[in-house]
Amino acid sequence: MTSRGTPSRFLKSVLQNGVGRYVCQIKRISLVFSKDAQTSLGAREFIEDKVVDFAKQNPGIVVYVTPQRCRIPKIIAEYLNGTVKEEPINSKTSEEITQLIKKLSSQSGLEVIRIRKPIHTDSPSIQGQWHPFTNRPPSLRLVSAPLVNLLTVMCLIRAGFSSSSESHVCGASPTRAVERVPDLQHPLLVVLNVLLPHHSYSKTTEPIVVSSAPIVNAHCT
Amino acid sequence: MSSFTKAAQQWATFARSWYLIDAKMQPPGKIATMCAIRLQGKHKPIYHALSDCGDHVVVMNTRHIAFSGNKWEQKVYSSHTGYPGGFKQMTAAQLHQKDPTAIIKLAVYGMLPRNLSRRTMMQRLQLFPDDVIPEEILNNLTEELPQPRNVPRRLNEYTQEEIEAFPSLWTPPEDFKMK
Repeated sequence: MTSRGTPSRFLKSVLQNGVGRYVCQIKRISLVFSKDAQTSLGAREFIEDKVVDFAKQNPGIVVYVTPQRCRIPKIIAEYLNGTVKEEPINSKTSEEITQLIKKLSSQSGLEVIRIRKPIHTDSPSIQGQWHPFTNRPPSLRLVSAPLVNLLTVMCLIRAGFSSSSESHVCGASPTRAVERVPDLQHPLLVVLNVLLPHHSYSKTTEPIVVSSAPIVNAHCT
Repeated sequence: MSSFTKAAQQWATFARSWYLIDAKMQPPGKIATMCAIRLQGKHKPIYHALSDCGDHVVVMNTRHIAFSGNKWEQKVYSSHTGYPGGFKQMTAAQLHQKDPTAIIKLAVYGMLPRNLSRRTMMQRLQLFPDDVIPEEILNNLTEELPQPRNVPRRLNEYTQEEIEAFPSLWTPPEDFKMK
């Protein structure tokens, strides 16, 4: 799965562990193994040689060794924040088990998932985030009539977006006078209506009436 | 733009536009590359293959496309019905006669990436054999793209004054026989 579909967390320690004194976060290690099965051979060797030394070196961890009739030997690690982690040590060698136990004893009980970075910015974009009309010059060629009103809408939008009117947006007014009011239910114009309340592109709240050139020129200059 | 809410900014950046291309007297391959680029969304800086950022493209006058060379007779479109003996081959001219939008459709289909998004992108491509376009689609269009090929003027499209004003190297005498 992608990282967006799986859980994630921010980097933290349990109760600011380490700021004052460091408390070992693992409280109990239970070693469940079988005294006869072949799969627990590594576990039995580990218990013979290394478990006592491990327990002496880590006085804060309680080590339980439980021989049971089980098909797969396990290490069950319990942490101070309640997490219980079960790891099968099926057919592992003694060295592998030591490494595994070292790893578990140095973990805190927080989940092993993707760690997110605490990045925040108040200005995510300096030059302005791209939108489909960013670098789209309004075309001055004669296009079919239904397009003309949309192009003039684009002119107005460009004039509104570039709040300092440095860009010479509309060099020439459209050659045809279109009397149609643009359809404000059209999805793109709904988008622009959502965006543009923050910039007043027309002084009044009436819809844009693209009926005569002077209105276009007034906004473009 | 920075004063807009996050939702409005997101909607603006990922808005889908509708483009119009006039394929009259244009090579279908060049039309198809322009379509394919915009259907995938590769003309946008926010492009990613997984983000479904392609736009809609409307191609009109597909009946009047112009192949260069002898491709109308030489280019062969093959298909197989799946049944034995069902291998069919057609020249471009025959296919164009049968379905005037098929040539551009097949060209664009072959230029899109071979993954599951291809079918979705093809659904966003609208082809019209002539310049009759339904009103709903006309209302959606935002930009007309420039044609890839400069269509040269025919001799009968020049006025007599322009023909006479054209510089000539020599005028042949009246009894001159051109070979």
